Amino acid sequence: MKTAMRALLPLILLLPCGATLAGPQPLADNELAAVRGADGINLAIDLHLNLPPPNSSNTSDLTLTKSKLTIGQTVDGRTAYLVFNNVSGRIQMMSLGLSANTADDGTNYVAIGLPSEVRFTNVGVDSISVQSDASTPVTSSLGKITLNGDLSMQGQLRLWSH
Amino acid sequence: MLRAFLYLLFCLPGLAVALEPLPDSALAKVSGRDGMSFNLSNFAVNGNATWRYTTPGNNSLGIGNLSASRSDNTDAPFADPYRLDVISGGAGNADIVNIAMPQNALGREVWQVAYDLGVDANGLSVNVGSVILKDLVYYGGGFQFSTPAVGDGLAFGLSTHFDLGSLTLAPNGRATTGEALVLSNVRVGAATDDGSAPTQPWRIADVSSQAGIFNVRTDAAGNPSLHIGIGWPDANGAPAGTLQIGNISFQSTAGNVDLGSSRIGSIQLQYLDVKFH
Repeated sequence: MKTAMRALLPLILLLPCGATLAGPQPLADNELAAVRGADGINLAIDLHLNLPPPNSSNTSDLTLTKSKLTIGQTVDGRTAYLVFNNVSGRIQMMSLGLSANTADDGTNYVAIGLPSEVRFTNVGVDSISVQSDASTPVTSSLGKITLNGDLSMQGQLRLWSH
Repeated sequence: MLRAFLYLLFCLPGLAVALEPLPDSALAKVSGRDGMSFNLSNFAVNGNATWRYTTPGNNSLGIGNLSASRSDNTDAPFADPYRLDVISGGAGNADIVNIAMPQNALGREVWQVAYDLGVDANGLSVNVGSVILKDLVYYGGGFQFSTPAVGDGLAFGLSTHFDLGSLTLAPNGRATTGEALVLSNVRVGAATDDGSAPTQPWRIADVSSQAGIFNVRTDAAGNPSLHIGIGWPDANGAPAGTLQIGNISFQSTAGNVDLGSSRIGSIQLQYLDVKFH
């Protein structure tokens, strides 16, 4: 009996009974704000959107099967569709920063560091059209939009709650 | 021994309480704060990127070589931001997404913008010239988005109050401003009773009283079109705006022609209906 008691005693001491009885304590905002990670992250992005693989021929399936973004709206009981054909292009970005900061006045904010270099290659849509039937081929288009070239940016976009 | 077991028994229910599932009703009470603030800091952009609109006939209009920057209110960088909120549209109406621009009372957030225009048509590529906006300062105003009262689409609101130091159209490029059309000291905002400079934003469209509409629609004859418009105002009438231009001048190496100032004391936009087909 005495041996058993002696074996149980450390077990009882180990059990976090006190903490369990008290229940979880809420973590105050200021304590949470004191938790610090590293300075943030930087992202380099190379996005190829709806483009055929560079080594494929123009007759590959990906070239033939073009994407379509469709918005259908019903006005006066008749539905019409706004169709963006083949939203596509390549965006290279270097580098997008993300970090959490506290300002001098105590505001906690997320800072998005704008990319110093962005290159757009044929970013846009092949055509924009308005159709009564979204599934038919484009017969009358409003035109095409593209974005090409480089942009360099500086500064931050800061986000916080109010 | 018994005492030790008793103690263990007392401890166990405590553990069970800590892992209690969160009921839906309690979860529904969890709410974020009212909205989001955002602002730019030390912002500038420039580059040779060109945005190009190409017609079905393969002629195109390009806007490129954008160069823009904005100064900050460095004394209080967090006190007067852009604000995004979802507000109630009133009884029976959809909620409204409201984006408010900074009040910018001291006018410290100042934009500088320049870009080039070009046209590519009938095998000719023509550089139309540069547009230079100097000292563009917005004071309040903003945007609203919601669903229209009738039918599908996007209902929008728009209000603005800005001062523009000068708007320069330089046909030979931004480096050659000696030959240009210059509109200086431009002010746009709500009309004032005595015709003085505006102090409040001009509500060009308002989701509640005179909503703007953006949608696609098919007319009775079956022709679909892209539609943008501003509806008739409610019983209070359309808000009045004012446009004031301090000076209009044509500048050239041969001498400047000053046309003097121009002022439209009160503009009311009653109804707008544009269809693209």
